[in-house]
Amino acid sequence: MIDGVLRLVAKWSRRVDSEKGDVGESEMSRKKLPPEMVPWDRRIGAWLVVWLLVYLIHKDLSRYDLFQWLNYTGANFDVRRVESIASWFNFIMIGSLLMLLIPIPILRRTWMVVVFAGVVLFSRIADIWALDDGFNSNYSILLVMLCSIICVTMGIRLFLFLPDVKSKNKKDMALRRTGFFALGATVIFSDFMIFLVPGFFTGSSHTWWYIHFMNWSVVEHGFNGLVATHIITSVIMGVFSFMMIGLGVSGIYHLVLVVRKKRTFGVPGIFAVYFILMWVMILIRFITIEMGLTSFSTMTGTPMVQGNYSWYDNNGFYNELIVSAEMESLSFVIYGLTSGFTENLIYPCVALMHAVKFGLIRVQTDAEKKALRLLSLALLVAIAAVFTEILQELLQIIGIFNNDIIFAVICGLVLTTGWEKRLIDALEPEPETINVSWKYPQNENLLFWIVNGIVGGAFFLQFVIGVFDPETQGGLVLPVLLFIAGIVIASVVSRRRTYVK
Amino acid sequence: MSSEEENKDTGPDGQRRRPVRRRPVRRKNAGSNIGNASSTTGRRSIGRIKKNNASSLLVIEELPSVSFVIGGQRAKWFIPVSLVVILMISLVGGMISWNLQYADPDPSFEGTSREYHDCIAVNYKYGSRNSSDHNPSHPENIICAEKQGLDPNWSELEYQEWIANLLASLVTEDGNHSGYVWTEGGIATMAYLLSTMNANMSVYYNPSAGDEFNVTHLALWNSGAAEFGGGSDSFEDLLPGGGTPMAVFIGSGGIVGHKPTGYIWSATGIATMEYLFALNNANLSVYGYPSPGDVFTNEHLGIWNAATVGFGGGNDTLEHLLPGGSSALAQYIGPGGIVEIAPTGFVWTEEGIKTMEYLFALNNANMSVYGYPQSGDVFTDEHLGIWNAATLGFGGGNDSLPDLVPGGGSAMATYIGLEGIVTWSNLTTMPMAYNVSISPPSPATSDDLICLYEFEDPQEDPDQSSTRWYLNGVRTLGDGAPSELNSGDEVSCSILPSDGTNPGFRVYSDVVVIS
Repeated sequence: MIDGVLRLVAKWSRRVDSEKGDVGESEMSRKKLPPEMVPWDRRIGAWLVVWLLVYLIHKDLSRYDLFQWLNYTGANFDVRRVESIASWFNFIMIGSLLMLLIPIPILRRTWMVVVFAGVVLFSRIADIWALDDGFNSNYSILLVMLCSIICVTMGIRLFLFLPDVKSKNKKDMALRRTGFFALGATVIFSDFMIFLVPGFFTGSSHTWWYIHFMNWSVVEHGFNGLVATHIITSVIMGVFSFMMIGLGVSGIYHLVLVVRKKRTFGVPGIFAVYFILMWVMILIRFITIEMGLTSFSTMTGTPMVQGNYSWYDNNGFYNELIVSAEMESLSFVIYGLTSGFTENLIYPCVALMHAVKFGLIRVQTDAEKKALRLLSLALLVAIAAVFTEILQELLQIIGIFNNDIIFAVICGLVLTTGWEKRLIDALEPEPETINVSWKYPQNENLLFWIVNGIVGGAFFLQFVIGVFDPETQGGLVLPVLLFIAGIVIASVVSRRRTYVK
Repeated sequence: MSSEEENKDTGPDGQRRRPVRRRPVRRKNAGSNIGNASSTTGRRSIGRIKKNNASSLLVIEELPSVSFVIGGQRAKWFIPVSLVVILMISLVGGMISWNLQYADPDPSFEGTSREYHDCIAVNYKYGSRNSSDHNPSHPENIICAEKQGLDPNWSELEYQEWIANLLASLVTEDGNHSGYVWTEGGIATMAYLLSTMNANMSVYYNPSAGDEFNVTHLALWNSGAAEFGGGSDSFEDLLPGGGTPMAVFIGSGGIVGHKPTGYIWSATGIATMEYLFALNNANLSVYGYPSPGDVFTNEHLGIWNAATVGFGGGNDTLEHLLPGGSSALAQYIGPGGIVEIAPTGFVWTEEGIKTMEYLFALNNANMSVYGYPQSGDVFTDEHLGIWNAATLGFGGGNDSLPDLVPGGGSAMATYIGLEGIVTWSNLTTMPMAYNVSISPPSPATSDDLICLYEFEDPQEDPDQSSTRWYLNGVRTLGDGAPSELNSGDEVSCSILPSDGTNPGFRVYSDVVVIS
């Protein structure tokens, strides 16, 4: 049947070509085009960014009633679990491949990509098995964080030992390119866990996000289970802490050198400002929790709604938390200004601008450049608004007078100093980021299709499960067949497009 | 000349310009400059940068080593130092938390941290009522419980206390029926929760089709759903398509449905609703969009009466809305009525209701089997299925609805008596009793009590209704009025209207208290 469909597609394609005046297959001598001018890393990177944006859009839309049809509403737990794994795998693979494959591949053989995807998938499934056995393993998060060490280290290296921006030495270019990319990938991995970093060093129970699962490991596996989960979680939190502390300190180092005119602001400057912004948010959130003004769920980082909560701690003691209406209200404000702001605005914008910066999405015409500058300016205004809002909330908490108009005037003055121009200029594409590429040592087309197959397949599976709501695992067969058919058709169409007279 | 070369030698204005001699990029050492690369045409261009028109794409063939990419020129010490720092940070943070939370066991526990946490596992394994290995008397459990100062059966004790507190704090059943029953989706949800979470049956018991979902169930549901983002659902929220926040878990099918009233929307009723909406653009919340087979609920009746007050209606009963019924709106809705009786045509008898209560009290049988029917409830096909499944072990299991009517051929007749558990409810010919009350309304111990009522029969047949008396909620022997009354006794009566051919719905009086 698939063969028949493909023949039909090929026949239709030939007819269209013929109608357009192109030369049909029968009358042309098939000749392969020279390699496209778009290098492999830009093509695959662009697709990964597109998948990331599609993932984020899908995730955001599915929260609204109007798009409930995107969510799985069936009752089959196994199907729901498959959807959950596909969604997680999709996001993690995009982020991991961005840092391990683009622009200078750490995974240097195509089979490494496949094996890596298999390991990621297995780690997630192993987590499920472990949880079913009452042990909170967190293998999947551990794996991701171990991978992120690579890009975190690259980012710190860039901040500390930034190569001469004018150097055309290919090693310097390699260091700049990987450093820039690594910082972008770091942003994508900066989920709500970064807000728990201060508590990691104070031992605050509310920041030990796994505390309930830790209990579970204890009650099912005793002391050994406790130690194992504690070690795994300590390493995870250690990497998060290393990321935020290392990048924060080295980012400040970079800015200091910029102020002393020893460096230009550039892309590292943008990320340095970003990490300072994040640290402000982290500290505000942490302080409000410590002061008992806000309360967030330890597992999801979302605000806790008004009510009485009770649980047993690791010592078996009964604990109770009363969340008042005021706490709930302030929690939602702080959440919106921290997690909500970063997840809904910062991440997509950073992904988009990163893609533009490195030519994954081309910005060439004046109109396109103006649009990019407008978007950048809008983002900066949003950041300024969030900053002032946070400041106002804090001033209100400690009882100091504050006023919207005063803040508007301050913001206006700040915006006229020209710092925003430096940020926007730094976001624009540069010849080096656009015109230099490193060759992939193996078959680039094969890599292209494998990466898109892995990432797109996971998204497709998640999407189709949400739309069709299969009630049995057998219902997943159709989506899988559709996906395979889609890949084959796309491959055929793509192959036809690479041949002209 | 290729187009590429043309572009190189042509200025922006299209005019040819003087060729410029290009000088190769100077290389400091082999393989270190960008000149050591090839263009996308695959041609080696060592020592110079190949520029192509607007974009001079340069592809460097030699990949730098992984360690160089990560650590740069200082990779030899930078990477190890970074890893050591990560380990140190993990160690410091982990140790701080360990020392604060886990290093020292509870002071009342005599033993090490290892023994303490292992005892937690033992306590759960053998002491928890949710554990499949639940065995409070297991020697290890007893030893650990002693060390921890706990009762070996702590879980059961805690549970009993918890359930008592919970029920005491909830709005428990007030005797009024909710009008909602468990749906298939709700039943499946409960079965799922029980299988995956080993959730307590008293909270998430196993309901079956037709079981009522009452206010206590709702309160328990909200209590359990609170930690998952729910906790404030109404009955309506749990209907199919309802607004419960738990919809992400239970799906859009809800877990409750309208309890059958014995009436469903007729085709005329459905058409009437469509007509009214088209005519008045009436609010959906008032008229809704019923579909064939939908239950005509008591809520529908309330809405109907509220909306028809202005047209001379407002006081219809469900029977008034039947075909040929005496609704004040009959001139508008025609002789076809807007409701019809539910398909089975059988309703529970009082004997059936009592049988269910008796069985539940006797066997503590699962509600999913016997449920709590209410007078006038339809005896559904689902009820019949449950009945047959439950009576299989007693020689039954093959009853049809006519077998269960008074004098029917049920194999269980020896248990349920001659009065059956259901009755055929031919509503169009059914007699009705109204205004059932006790006289005198404030009786003393010496008064003779009389059960008063009004009788109406569509065929105007003579009244052959029967009366029952209840003293302190218990049916009297021989159904006679109680002869010996004490101050404080509660007395009520009921009338089963009958014209000698068809019985009607039993109607109860208010309770009077003997002064």
